[in-house]
Amino acid sequence: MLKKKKNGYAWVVFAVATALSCSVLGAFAKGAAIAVLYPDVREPYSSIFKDVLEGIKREADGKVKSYALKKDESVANLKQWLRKQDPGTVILLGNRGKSVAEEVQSEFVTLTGAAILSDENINAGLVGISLAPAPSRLLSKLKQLAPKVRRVIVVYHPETNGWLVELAKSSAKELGLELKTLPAKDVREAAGLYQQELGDQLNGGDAIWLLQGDPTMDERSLLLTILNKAWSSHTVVFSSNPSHVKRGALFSLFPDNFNMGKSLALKARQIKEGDSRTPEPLKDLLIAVNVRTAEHLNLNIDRSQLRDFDLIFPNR
Amino acid sequence: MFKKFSLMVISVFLVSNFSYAGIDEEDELSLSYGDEDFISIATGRKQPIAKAPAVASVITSSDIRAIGAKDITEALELVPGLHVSKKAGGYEPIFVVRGIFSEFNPQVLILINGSPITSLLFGNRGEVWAGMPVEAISRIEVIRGPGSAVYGADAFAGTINIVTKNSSEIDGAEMGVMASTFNTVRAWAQYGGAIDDWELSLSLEVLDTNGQSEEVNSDIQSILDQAFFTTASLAPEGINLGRKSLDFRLDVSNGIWRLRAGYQARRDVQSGAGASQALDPIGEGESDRLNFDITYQNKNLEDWEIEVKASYFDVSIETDLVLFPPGAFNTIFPGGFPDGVIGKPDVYERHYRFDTSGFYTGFDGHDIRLGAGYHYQDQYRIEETKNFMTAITPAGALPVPLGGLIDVSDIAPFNREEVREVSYLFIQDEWKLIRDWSLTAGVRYDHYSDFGDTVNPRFALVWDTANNLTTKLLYGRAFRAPSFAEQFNINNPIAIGNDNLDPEIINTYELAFDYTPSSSLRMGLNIFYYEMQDIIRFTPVARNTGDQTGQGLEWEFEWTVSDEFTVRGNYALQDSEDEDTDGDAPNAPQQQLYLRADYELMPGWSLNAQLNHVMDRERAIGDLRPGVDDYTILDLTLIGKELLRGVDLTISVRNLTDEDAFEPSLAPGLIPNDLPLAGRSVFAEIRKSW
Repeated sequence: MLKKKKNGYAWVVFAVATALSCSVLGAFAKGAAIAVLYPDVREPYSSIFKDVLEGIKREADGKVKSYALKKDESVANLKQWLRKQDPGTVILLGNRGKSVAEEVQSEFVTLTGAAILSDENINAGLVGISLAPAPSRLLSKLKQLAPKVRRVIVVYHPETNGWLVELAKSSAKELGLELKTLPAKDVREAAGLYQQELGDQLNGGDAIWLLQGDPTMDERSLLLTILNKAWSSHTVVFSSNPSHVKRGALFSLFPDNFNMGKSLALKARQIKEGDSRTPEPLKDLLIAVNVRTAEHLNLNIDRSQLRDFDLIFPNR
Repeated sequence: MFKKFSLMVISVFLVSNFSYAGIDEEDELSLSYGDEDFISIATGRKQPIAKAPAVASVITSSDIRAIGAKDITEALELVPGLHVSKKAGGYEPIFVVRGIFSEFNPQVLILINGSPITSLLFGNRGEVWAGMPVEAISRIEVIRGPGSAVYGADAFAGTINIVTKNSSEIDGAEMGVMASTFNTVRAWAQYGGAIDDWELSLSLEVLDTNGQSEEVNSDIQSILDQAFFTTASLAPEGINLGRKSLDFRLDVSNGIWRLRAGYQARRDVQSGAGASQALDPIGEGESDRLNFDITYQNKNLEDWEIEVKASYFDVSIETDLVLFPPGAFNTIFPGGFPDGVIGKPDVYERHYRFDTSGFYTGFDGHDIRLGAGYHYQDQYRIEETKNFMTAITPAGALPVPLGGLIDVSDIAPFNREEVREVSYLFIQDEWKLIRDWSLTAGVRYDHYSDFGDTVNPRFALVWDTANNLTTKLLYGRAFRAPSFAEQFNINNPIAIGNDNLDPEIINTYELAFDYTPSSSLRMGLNIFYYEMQDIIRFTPVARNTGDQTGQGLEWEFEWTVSDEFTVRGNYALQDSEDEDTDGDAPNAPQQQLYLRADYELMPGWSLNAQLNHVMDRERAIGDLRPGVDDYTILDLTLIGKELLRGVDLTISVRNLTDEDAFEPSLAPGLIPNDLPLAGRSVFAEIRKSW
C-alpha cells in the first residue's frame, strides 16, 4: 500500500516535471515558429503551395506549422488553431489566405504570399510578397534579350497595379529605358489606348508590357490582336503570364515556388524583428521564352542559351 | 486596323466577365502560372515537348484520363488520320495511318522512351502483345508520316513514342482500382520521390479480364465445313479475349545518368477470333518483354549536348493454339485431329543497342544534330510443336495429320534462328535561312547485315507566316525493313520466306498549316501525298511486288468555348490506291471524324464525351463482300476529383449507344461478317494519392 503511494507521488512529480519542461521548451519554440495557412485545392494547383511550403520549411529550419484552408473555412476554428500554435508570424498563402488576413492581422503578425497584391490590398494594410514579378527583373530581362528596346509602353489599372508601375518607373530609369505609362479604368479604355499605341509608329525599339491580373486586359478579345499587331511591327511584347508566351509574347517571368517560400520565411523573420513591412513584388522567378517570336524579332538565341530558359515555346 | 479594334471593343463587352474581387484561387494562380497545363509544367510534373518539324500530335496523361482510356489503343483514336483496327488473331491492334493497312502492321514504329519495341519476326510489336495500360504514361507523341531520317526502320506510316512518367510527375504515392463489364479488374500503384540527388519512380499495373465476347456467326471453319461436309465450326460463338497482364516500370535518374527498366508479362492471352480465323476458346499465348537502358546525358559542354544510351530488350513469346477445332478435316483425314489442328510456335529474341546523339551549336544560325549507333538483334530460339504439316493438295493448302503432337523445332520449324546487325549514322541541320524562314534538312544512312544499305533524307521548310500562322512544307523518305517472317519463313507452303528482299520504301510530301484565328480557337490542316514502293507480299514466296499511292488531308481544331467548356475534334480524309489493282487501298477508313467535349460541371467534377465516326472502308479487289459498315461510337466519362482527401472517382460508359461496330476481316473474308467490336460497357475506378 505504502509502496503504491510512493509510486503515486513519483507519478505526480514526473507529470509536473514534464509539464514544466514542455512549457519551457514551448516558450523557446514559440518565438521561432511560423504558421502557414494555405488553400486546400486540387492538383496541380496544390503542388504550388506544397513547393512554397517546402521553401518556407527549409528557410525556417522546419519550425513551421501548416493549416489547409477549406473553401468555406470557419474563421473561429482558424483563430482557435492559431491561438493554440501561438506562432511568431503567420504566412497566409493564396487568395484564400489573403482573404482571411483582415480577420487575423489584428491579433497576429501576418504576411501574405502566393497571391497577387493590388493597391487596394496594400492600402488595406496587407504586407507580403506579391505573385507579380518584380518590374526590375522584367525590365532587366528585357534589356538582356532585346537590347535594342528603348521604350516600354504599359497600359494599367491604377487601383490594381499602380504600385508596380511606380516601382517600374525607377527601374526603367536605372536601365536607361523610357517608360510610357497609360492608366486606364477598364478594358474599353485600354482597347482605345492600345488602338492608339499600336499604330504604325511602333517599331523594334518599342516594347509592350502586359500586366497580370489587370482589369484592363481581356485575354479573349484583346490579347491576340495585340500580339498579332506587335508581330507585324516587330515590337516586343513581354508579360507576367507564361500562357501569353505560348500565344506569341517574347517572354514572361513566373514564380519559382520553392525559392518564393524561402523568401517568405526570410521576410517573416524580418517582420518579426520589426523590419521591412513594405509589400514587395516577387524576385524568385523562372523564365518562359517564345523562340519563334525571338527569331522573328532577329534576337539571336542559340541552343546553348536555351539551357537558361525554364520553359520554351512553341512546340513545332 | 481601326475597324478591327472597334469590333474588338464591342466584343470585349460581349465576352468580358472579369471580376477581380470575386476571383477564385485557381483563376488567380492562372494569372501567374498560365492554365492548368502550364501549372503542371511549372511545378515540374510535366516536361514541355521538344521541337520537331513534323506533323505531330501529343496525347497527354490528362487527355488519357479525361477520355477514360485504359489502353494505348483507345488513346490513339484521338490522333487525326490514325485509326486502330483489329487483327483476327488475338485482336492485336492494327494502327492504320493515312490508308496504310496491313495485317501485321510493321509500317508503324512504336517506341517506349525512344527505344523501339519492334520484334524481328513480324517487324511489329510481336505477337501476344495484348495491349499496354496507360497509368505509367506521361504522354504519347505521334508523328504521322515518315520518320526514318531520325528513327530509322519502320518509321514509315507513322511513329508512336510512349513516354513514361518521371518521379516529379508521380510525386508521392498513388494507387487505383478499376472494375468493369467483362469481369475486368485493373489495379495499379505508383511511387515518385527523391533520395539525395537521385529521383526514383516505380509503377506497377495489373489486369485480369475475360474480355468482350461479341458473337462471330461464321468463321473459316464454317466455310470448310461446307466444303468438306464436316460440322466442326464453333460459330456462332463469342470471340475469346481473356487475358492477364502485368506491367512494371522503374526510372532512376540524377540529371546526368538515367536507368530505366521495364517488364511486361502477358499470360493466358486468348486468341480473339482465332489465329487462323477459326474460333478457338482453348488456345492461349503468353509473352514476356524485358528492357533496360542506361543513358548518359551532358548538356554543359561548350557548343555540345550529348547523349549516350546502351539498352537491352528481351522478348519471349510462347503460344499454344488450336488452329482448327476438333472434327475439322474429319472427312479427309478421319480421326486425324481428335483435339483439333494444333500449333505451338514459340519465338525468343534479344536486342542489344548502343546509340549516341549530340547537338552541335558552334555555327551561328545552325542547330546540328548528329547521331550514330549499332544494334545487334538476335532471334536466338525458334521452337515449334504441332500435330500437322501444311501440304498443297488439289483442294488447296491443307493440314495433314502427323499422328500426334511432334516437336518439329529441329526438323521443320516455321522460321530460322537468325541475327541482324544494324549500324547507322545521321545528321540533321536546322538552318535559319532568313527572318521567319527555317529549313531542317536531315539524312540517315543505315547498314543492315541482311539486306544491305538504305539512305533516307528529309526536308522541312518552316515559314512563320504571322504571329498566329505557321506554314510548313515537308518531304521525307522512309523504309520498312523486311521482317524475319518475310525473309526466313520455312516449312509453310503458303508463306515462304525470301532472303533476297529489299525494304519497303515510302516518299511523302506534306503541306501543313497551324492557325490560331482567335484566343479561343486553334486549327491545324495538313495535306499529304505519298508513294509506297516495293511493298512486300507473300505470293506465296515473299516478294517486293506492290505499289500504293495516297493523298488526303487532316484537319483539327480546339475551341475553348468558356473556362468550363472545351470542344476538340478532327476530320481525316484519304484516298489511297493499290497501283497493282487500280483499286482503293482496302480496309482503311477513307474518312474519320472525331469529336470530343470536356465540360466542368462544377469544381472538381468534369464530364467528357467523345464520338468516333469511322467511314468508307472498302474491300480488296476480288473480295466480293460489300464495304464494311460505317460506325459511330460514343463514350461518356465522368470524373470527380478530391471527393475525399486525395480520392478521385471515374465512371465511364463505353459505346453508350451499343452500336454494332466491326473491323474488317481480310480478303477473301474467312470470317465473312467481320470482326465485332465491344458493345456497351461500363467501368468505375477509384484512385487515391498520398
